[in-house]
Amino acid sequence: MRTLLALLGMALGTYALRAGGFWLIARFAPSPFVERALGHTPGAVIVALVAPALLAGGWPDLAAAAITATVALRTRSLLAAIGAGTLAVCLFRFLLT
Amino acid sequence: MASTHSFHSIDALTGARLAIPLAVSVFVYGSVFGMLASGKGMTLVHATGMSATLFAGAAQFVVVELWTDPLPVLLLTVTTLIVNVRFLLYGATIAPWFSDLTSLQRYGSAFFLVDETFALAAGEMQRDGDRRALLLGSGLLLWMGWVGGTFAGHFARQLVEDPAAWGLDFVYIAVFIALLVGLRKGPRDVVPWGVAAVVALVTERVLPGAWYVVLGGVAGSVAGALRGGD
Repeated sequence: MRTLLALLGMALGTYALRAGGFWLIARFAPSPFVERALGHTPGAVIVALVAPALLAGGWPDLAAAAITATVALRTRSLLAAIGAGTLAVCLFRFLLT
Repeated sequence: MASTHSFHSIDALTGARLAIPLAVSVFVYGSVFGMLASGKGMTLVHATGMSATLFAGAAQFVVVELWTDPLPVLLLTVTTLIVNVRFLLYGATIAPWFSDLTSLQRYGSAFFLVDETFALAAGEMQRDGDRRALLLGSGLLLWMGWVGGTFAGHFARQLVEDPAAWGLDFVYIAVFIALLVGLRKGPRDVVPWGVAAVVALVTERVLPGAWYVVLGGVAGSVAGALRGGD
């Protein structure tokens, strides 16, 4: 029951956002402040999610995170970065713990 | 200029063809989601159902981390909305280009707005193109990749006994770091990302559950907007 409620809430809410852009734009123009804040939202949410998890993981995770970022910057490939980071964390956990 | 009500299936097919390489990576990425979801005790029906109805990669990787018993329904919904609020901007950006289409065409296409399909559609719009069905076609193919990947990942998880030994618990961190690299806008990310990290680290110790994600995200966004200069 709770699961169904959560799935419905997330799906309907997300669709409302997707459709809402089409609906809203004809009626209201967002203020420049709101527009700027929305532009920063995806990055800020992801940083907020990752920061505590990274710190809890200690040195092996931090080092693997650096490798993930480097590969993502170099290759622009999500999959290459994820693969390299995951391999690196196995190696560092083996070496550092 | 766009002719009235032009929305052709041939353009949808072109969109699907353009999205083939993306769909392959979305499939692999979806199977990582399926594995993580299965590891958190989500059933096959719940995980594929979520992928089919939510169809939002970043949000689903966040949700799977917050998937605990008892399920924090309000937190899950609010967090999802905050991660996905960018879709509002995407819709608003392409809305004028869709204005002479029927409601069904407009609101049907809206379901398939994700980062990749938006980039494809916005590119066509900026070139003064008229192939508005590109969004629907590419979106359908990516949706199939995402749902199929989730399905495959659920079964792949059964083959792996200890996910931490394979670094699979790190996969979601790696996913987000790679996404952040793609999202970055340069030095002006320092303030919003720094504020988001500090607020998240502090509230994580003070507040129960995972409200730190919401508070950190909102604080970072406001800090970025206050700083101005976009």
